[in-house]
Order: sequence, then C-alpha cells, then structure tokens
Amino acid sequence: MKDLNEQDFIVLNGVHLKKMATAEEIADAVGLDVSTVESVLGAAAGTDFLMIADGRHLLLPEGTSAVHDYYRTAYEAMRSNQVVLAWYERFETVNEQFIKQVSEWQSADGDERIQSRLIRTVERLTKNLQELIPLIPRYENYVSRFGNSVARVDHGEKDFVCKPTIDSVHNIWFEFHEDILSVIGRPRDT
Amino acid sequence: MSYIAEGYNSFETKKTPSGIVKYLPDPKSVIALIQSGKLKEHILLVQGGTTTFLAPALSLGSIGVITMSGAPESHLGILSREFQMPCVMTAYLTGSESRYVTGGNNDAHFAAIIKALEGKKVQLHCEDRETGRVAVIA
Repeated sequence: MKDLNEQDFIVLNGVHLKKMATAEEIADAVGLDVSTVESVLGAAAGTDFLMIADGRHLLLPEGTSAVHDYYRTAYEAMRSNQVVLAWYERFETVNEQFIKQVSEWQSADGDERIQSRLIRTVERLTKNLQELIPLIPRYENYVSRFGNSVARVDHGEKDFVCKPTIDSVHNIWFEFHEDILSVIGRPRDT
Repeated sequence: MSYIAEGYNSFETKKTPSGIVKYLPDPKSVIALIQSGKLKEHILLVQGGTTTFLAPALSLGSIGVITMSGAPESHLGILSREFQMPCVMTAYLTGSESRYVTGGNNDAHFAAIIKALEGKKVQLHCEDRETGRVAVIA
C-alpha cells in the first residue's frame, strides 16, 4: 500500500481525521460499507501505515504521510482556486464563533439559548458547504452527519453537542476543519 | 506550596494528577508513548491548543496536560473539559519574565519551559477558576 487509490484514501483519511476509531465508526463517517472499510484497514494493518489500540485504529506517521500525499495530488488545483480560498477565509470567522459557543455551552451546563445559537452556526456551515460540494463531492457526508447529530441534539440528546466519543457536532466540525485545511494545503500540525 | 509554572485553567477541578512531564513534539512521539504502555504515568507537555495529534492519548485516558500556547476556548480546551482531564494552558515559568507572544517567535520561550519541566515529577492544581498551576513534587 504505497500509493493510495481513492478508496484507500477515503478510508485512511477517515482514520486520520477521527484519530482513533473502529471500522464501524469510520464507515459511518465516510459513507462506505463496513466490509469495504475493514478490507482497506486489514491491508493497511500489515504495513507501517496503521496500528490498533483498544480495538480502534490510528494512523502511524507513514500512513499520515500517504494521506497528505494524496491530498497534495488530488487537490492541487484547489490550492490556487480563489473561490475555495475565499470560502475558507469566511469559514475562519464562523469557526471562531463556533468554538466560542461550544466553550460557552460547556461553561453554562448546556444552556438552551446558547445551544440554539450554536446549532444556528452549524446550520450556517452546512448551508455554506453547498458551495463546495460541486468541487468536493465527498463533503456531502459532512452535511449528512451534521444533520443527523443536530437532529439528536434537537431531541434532547445533549451529548451530541460535543462528547468526544460519539459523532457529536463538535467532533464533526473539527474533522471538517482539518479536512479543508489539508485540501488547501495548510495542515494544522505535523 | 511553590509552583514552577502556571497558566490558564481549562476548567475547575479538585483532581490533582501527578506524573513525570513528557514533552510530545509530534504524532510519532504520541504513538511511541501509547505503545510504551506508560501513558498514565505522565503529564503531557505540548506546544499548542490545536494539537490534534494528542487526541489518541486523550481517548486512552491521559491524566493531565500542559500547553505552552492556546486558550481554554480551543479544541484541546473543549476536549479536556469533556474528558474531565486537568489542563493548564499557555503555561509560563513563574520564575521567568518570559511570556508567550501571539504571532511572535516563541522558540526560546518554549525551549525554556521544556528544559525546566521535562523529566520532572509534577502535580497539577486546577481548583482555581482562572489559573492552573504546576508544582514540582520530586
């Protein structure tokens, strides 16, 4: 598994963004069936790309490097696309607002008014994402995941705001942020 | 009790975790620590508040974190509160005038903190609303 094909990338990028996850969690996040995800993870587990801890998969530096190489090749044109770069600049403002609102929500023990504002910010992002989906079709998955988690929050499942161990709104947001940074070539960290 | 370092407190807690400070500069060092099986023996020292490569360590139950930049209103701050893991952020040495400067060259500042803390057995005190503190206990 030296050079990734598109399916390898989608699965390993799922691991990369989730940091530590089961095959089922990765399948849910990337929109592939579990058997396909398990097949890619099984092949990667026999290399320097991946390790398993507590039944969850995490990328080793070689795997992370292969994922970044794929981004570099597949999204080269995006890195000078003014529509994408301008979209990202607008996202930065929304992102700052979201992080602040999540912190306030935590400090206020899940205050309903803050939660409403936070959910409106998520809905603003999902609306804005429609501009990117023609260029990056896999971003449709983020819209779908945000929709599912917001629905759970609306039904009173507050854990879906920012609990780290489930597909919470904050987790999805953070994965998306790292994804778009990698698309435009500004990795958050090494 | 005298404190060697202090910074923003991510959240108020009576937990006072102690361990040997381990500086984690990159994903490789996090993986190596996880593979060593000694994650819970260490207080983790990292540079920033958006250190995504620390996530596996948080998931596996790291006991405490010190950052040298970043605010409680950051990704790591949010996660530390969710995991109820004490976290002292933008820490500085109490015996030094040096402070983190946003957008500045902080290399010497970071190096001084790493030199002062790495390998020391410390205890985190995060009961104060605003300030998290680091005490050397051995």
